[in-house]
Amino acid sequence: MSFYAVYAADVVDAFRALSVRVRRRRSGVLWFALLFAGSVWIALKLVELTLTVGLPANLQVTTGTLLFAAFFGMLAKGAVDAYHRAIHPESLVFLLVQPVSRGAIAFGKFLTILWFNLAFVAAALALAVAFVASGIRVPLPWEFAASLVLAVVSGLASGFALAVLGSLSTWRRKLAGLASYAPVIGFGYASLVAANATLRDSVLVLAALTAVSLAAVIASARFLVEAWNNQTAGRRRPGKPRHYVRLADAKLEALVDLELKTMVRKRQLLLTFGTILVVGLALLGTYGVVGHPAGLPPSVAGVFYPFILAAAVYVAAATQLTVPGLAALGKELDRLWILRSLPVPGRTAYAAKTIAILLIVPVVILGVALPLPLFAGFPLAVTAFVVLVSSAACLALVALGVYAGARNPNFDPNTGGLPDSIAMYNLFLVALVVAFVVVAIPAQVYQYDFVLGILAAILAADLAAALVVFATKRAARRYDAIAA
Amino acid sequence: MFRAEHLTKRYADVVAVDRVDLEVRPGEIFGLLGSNGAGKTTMMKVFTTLLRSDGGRAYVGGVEVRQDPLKVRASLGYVPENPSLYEKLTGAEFLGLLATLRGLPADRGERMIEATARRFRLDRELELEMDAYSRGMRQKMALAAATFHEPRGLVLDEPTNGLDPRFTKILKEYLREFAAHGGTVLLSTHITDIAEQVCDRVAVIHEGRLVALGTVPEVQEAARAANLEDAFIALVGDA
Repeated sequence: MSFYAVYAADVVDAFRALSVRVRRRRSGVLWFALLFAGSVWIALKLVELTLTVGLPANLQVTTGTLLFAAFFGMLAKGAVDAYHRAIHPESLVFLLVQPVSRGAIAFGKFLTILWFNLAFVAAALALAVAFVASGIRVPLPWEFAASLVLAVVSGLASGFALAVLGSLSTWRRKLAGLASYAPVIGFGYASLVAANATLRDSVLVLAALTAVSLAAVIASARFLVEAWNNQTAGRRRPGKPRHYVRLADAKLEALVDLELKTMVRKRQLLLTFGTILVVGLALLGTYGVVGHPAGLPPSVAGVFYPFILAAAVYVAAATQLTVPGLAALGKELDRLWILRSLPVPGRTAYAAKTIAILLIVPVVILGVALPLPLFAGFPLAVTAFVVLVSSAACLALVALGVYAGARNPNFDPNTGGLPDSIAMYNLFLVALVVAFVVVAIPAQVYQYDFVLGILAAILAADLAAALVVFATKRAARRYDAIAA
Repeated sequence: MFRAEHLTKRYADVVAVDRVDLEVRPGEIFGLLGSNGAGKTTMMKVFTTLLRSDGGRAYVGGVEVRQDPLKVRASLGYVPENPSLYEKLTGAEFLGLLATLRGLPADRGERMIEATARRFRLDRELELEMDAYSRGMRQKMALAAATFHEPRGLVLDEPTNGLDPRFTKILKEYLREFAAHGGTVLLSTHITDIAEQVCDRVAVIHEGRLVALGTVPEVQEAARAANLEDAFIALVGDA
């Protein structure tokens, strides 16, 4: 039962850390409960609306598609959680030197990840059942609920195994490890999406996927030490140093360069570009499959592409612009002494963090906001409007991440500086509201008069830029006040 | 160089530093001795502007630390007890960053880094990313980072942690040379031998209060002990 000891210690540790943060911000928990319930309600209403209005004729979204999307989303979450909890922490050494099997350590760590994520999904399902019982007309058969739980377990387990395999010491070993797991994901896609599985078949497919992925967690433990060593004790000579940016202020330039070098060498930038590329390609893929959204009422067809474009920009901006801002201070605790013992004012130190994040904004615009209007042949005025409001939304979400990250930094080394799930969820929903406001007001003006609409979008972008400056100044004040 | 007047710092109900009065003169190597949690690190963090005191005043080079923290930082070098570094930077990039942030001209900064790397035997490791460093190498890099810019004062929290005897000897020689040229060192250590060998004066801190202050023979005499280790135990108890 050594896996249970690992799991129990990990859960107690994480739960106490969460309790401390909850006690500090009781109102945050209430907000979380309200927003969480609200978002489940909105999701169900969207499904209800889709069932009534229908989807474009060429767009096939089945329950199999939804379950595979849940599996894939949880795979990504499981990989991130596994990296922070099981592969990257230096404290893992205290478990690795004990006379227990590596499989027990890996499984104990996986159970911790499963516990928190499954609790989240269980709460969402319970709320969904309550809303359906209170009158929302969405069918919720037991097979779907069971399949969803299995998709979560198998997704998290697959993510865990992939995180270990992707952390091996050479590119050849990484690729071999990832390739060896590709058939499992391929099986999931073929069975759930391509074969258009019925709900009962989905339960069986996901049960099989769960068994295989849990076995993969145990099997991946064989490589856990190699992955841990590779992640915690590199021995790299990165070659001749190069500067990534040129700025007038030498101190600011050096600090932005530090942020960018760290992002490049930790491969965060690669992940960022990859994610933005995937979101952009998904958007273009949707356009390629659906084309003109036939089969929808004209009022819905007219907003179909603006809606999915806005959703894509939100996803890219929230994950790639807000999240780095949230972690900007939290990830620094152990190293805060370096800058804080130098003659560098907090505003310079924090401006560098903000600039490093702002450099990603053009990538989001070019990778996500611009391709669809260009490929779909949107008129020039519409394309310009899309770019402007997307820029405004991106800047506003940068400001939100920077402000919130400094206001409530999380110094737990297991999370890489990211806030706990409750705070993160609250922030994503606040980001959704902020992005909606920033985009909706100019859009309303644009419908009235396109010139005024474009001016409104420029004003929105200006205001969002001012928000970035304000957020950075406030964050710098917090940075200066924190005891290093 | 370092002066504390009724310096007080609390963490919730715990008084970490309790109305401490202290003066460290220019050119002096001053040792803070104390058990774990005695308040040594807290006091050092107040001097380096990393913590704000709750009462009293702390001065570095005549500057009150809360009045002009940037000036204080410009005049000091600091090594924390467990230095975490930018793991994805090479040693050369790290020291180059610090030189820029300290406003040193590029060519002068490079010369100083080269000289420091030679002094602390870091030449070969400078091109490696720092996550490859051993504990001792990290400590050496932290010492290099604290000293390369020729500060007026050094604040060193357990500076011999992780160092091998050969390098500990090099460090002790460097500290004596630094003080001989007018530099001031405030260091904390658990190792009474090191305090005996390098410190001009020591202070023993217990539960946030100063319980003894003076040269090593003066502290031994006050505690009626034959050596500093016995004096320390006599002053703070053996629990």
